[in-house]
Amino acid sequence: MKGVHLVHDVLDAQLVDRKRQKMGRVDGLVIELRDGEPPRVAELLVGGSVLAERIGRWMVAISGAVSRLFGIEPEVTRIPFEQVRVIDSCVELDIDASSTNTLRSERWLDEHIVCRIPGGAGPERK
Amino acid sequence: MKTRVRVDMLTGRMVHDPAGQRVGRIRELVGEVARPGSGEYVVREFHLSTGGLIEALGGTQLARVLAERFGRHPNRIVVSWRDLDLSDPERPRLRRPRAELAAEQPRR
Amino acid sequence: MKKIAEVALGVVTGIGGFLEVGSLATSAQGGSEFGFQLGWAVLLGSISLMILMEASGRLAAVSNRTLADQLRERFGIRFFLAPLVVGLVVSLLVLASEIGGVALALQMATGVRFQLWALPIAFLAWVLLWRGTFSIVENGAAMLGLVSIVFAVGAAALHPRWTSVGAGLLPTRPAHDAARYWYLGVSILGASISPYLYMFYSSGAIEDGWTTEDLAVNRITSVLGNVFGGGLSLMVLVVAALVFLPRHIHIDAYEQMGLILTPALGHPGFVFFLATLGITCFGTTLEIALAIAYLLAQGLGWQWSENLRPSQDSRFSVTYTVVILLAAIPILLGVNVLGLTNISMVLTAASLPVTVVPMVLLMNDRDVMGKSVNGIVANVALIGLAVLTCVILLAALPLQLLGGG
Repeated sequence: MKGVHLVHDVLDAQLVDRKRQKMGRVDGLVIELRDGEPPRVAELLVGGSVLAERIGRWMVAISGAVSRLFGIEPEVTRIPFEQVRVIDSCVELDIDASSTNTLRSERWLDEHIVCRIPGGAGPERK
Repeated sequence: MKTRVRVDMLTGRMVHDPAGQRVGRIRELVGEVARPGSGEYVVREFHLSTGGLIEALGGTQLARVLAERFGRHPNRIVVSWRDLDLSDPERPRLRRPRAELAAEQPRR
Repeated sequence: MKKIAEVALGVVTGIGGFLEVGSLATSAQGGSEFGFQLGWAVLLGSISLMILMEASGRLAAVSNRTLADQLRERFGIRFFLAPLVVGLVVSLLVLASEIGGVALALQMATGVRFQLWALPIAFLAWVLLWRGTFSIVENGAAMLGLVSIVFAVGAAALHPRWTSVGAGLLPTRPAHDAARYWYLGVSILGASISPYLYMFYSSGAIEDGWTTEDLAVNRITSVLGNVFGGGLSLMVLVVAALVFLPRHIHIDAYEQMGLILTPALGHPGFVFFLATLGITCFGTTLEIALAIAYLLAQGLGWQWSENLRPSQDSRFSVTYTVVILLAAIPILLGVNVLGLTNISMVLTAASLPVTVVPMVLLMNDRDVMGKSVNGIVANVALIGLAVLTCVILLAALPLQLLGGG
């Protein structure tokens, strides 16, 4: 029976939502240990702090300091594995990116900076 | 109380058997659907690597891919989920002796 | 028919895009100090770039992901930090040099000090990226960059001994100052083989929607583009050799290069030089700013495309905006542009292994490349190149200390 290779095909893969909007990469993956049953693949994690943990304690310290400097709360987005539709050249989710926090900084920049500059917003394609 | 383990922090960790002997480093987790039709995936097996050259090169992902390229196929050990104890994720333990496991490996 | 147009465009991009502040400076210095003897460095640089561009283009066309995407996906975040950080730092330095190149061209044209041009240039570059599309940026820069053909005209007008030029295409021992000779050799290599070039090329392949049907176009474009582009760079070296070497002019500043085309073409030669310097550096400014934004966006999984409105990929757009501003700062502060260029060229050369070595693995990975994995010839070329880049890395620091400026 074909299996999903979690490290090779899921970890670090590009995440896209229902509308094929890019929403970050799979920065982390959580499995849930259960007595007498195989571990359940629980959720995907997206977030800078998740990456920092993978890189090492020194990175966690640096990103913590940077977050405090800018007054931002580092957020981790947890996506239940059940929402994965397809695992191909990217991981397609059965949700809208807007229902998650992954695009929080994207939205913020859009509202506060990009849309304030002429030519920033407008119809779909240039 | 269900223990949650980060897969990305698990990779690269050395697995020891009950006698304290090294078995290999966790390189891959293979998942499959729990029941046909359900959206739930469970981990069926773990793949461990024991390539000597790779460990010598620091066991990094790059070192491993480099070694594989030069024909040093690291011995892949397939471990069923039943045989791996992850209650302490930083010290994964094989539930059976290493030799027992080696005997069961699929022939290449 | 469409394929022919694509190839033509790709070749034009190669020609118009090859020359920029680094290749102009290093080829001119090379020619003025060692005559035709460093021709081999230009040749080696062009061939190497050919190999890397073809590979990164093929990678993108076949796997539908860019080189930066694959570096993160195949090797993980811990490894990816290396090409990310190194790429960011080195590319920023080169970007600053390019802005400096445009600023100096304007200073020489108008008399207004180059520092004052930093922000206007940065602003214009930013506007073009903000409002433009990928094709407009790439093709516009390429077309305008064709002005650099004037160097081929200039070289021909000076009637060099072409056999001597040919002899210089093989490495020879320098008659004097070996450290300086090899230092310039490495700088020329760094000017030709810049990671932002082949990383930008692979992003461009995705922007243009290349698939496995475009593999032939990819091959022809990378080869021809660099044959002509490298040829132009060689012409700069030839002209510098004929104009500066006999007069024992050692180039310490871009202003000295101003007269490079004058003996061949008269006063218009000066104007053509300024046009070449300004236009090619400006085009490269756009390219590097995008390349840096591509690297960050792709590595972290953000939405990205030059064909989208900035609002649809805000993190990507804000990145190239910030990057252009940061790179303008050294020029605003009056940093010596030639010095900055020389250092960034050597650093570029030294930074190559961190992308080239992984490429060897990627191009041989069937999961990534499918049937298009490297054959024997491609592997010999790429692995040989990877070894060369490691040698350059080891030699870079000693050479900078012994032969720099």
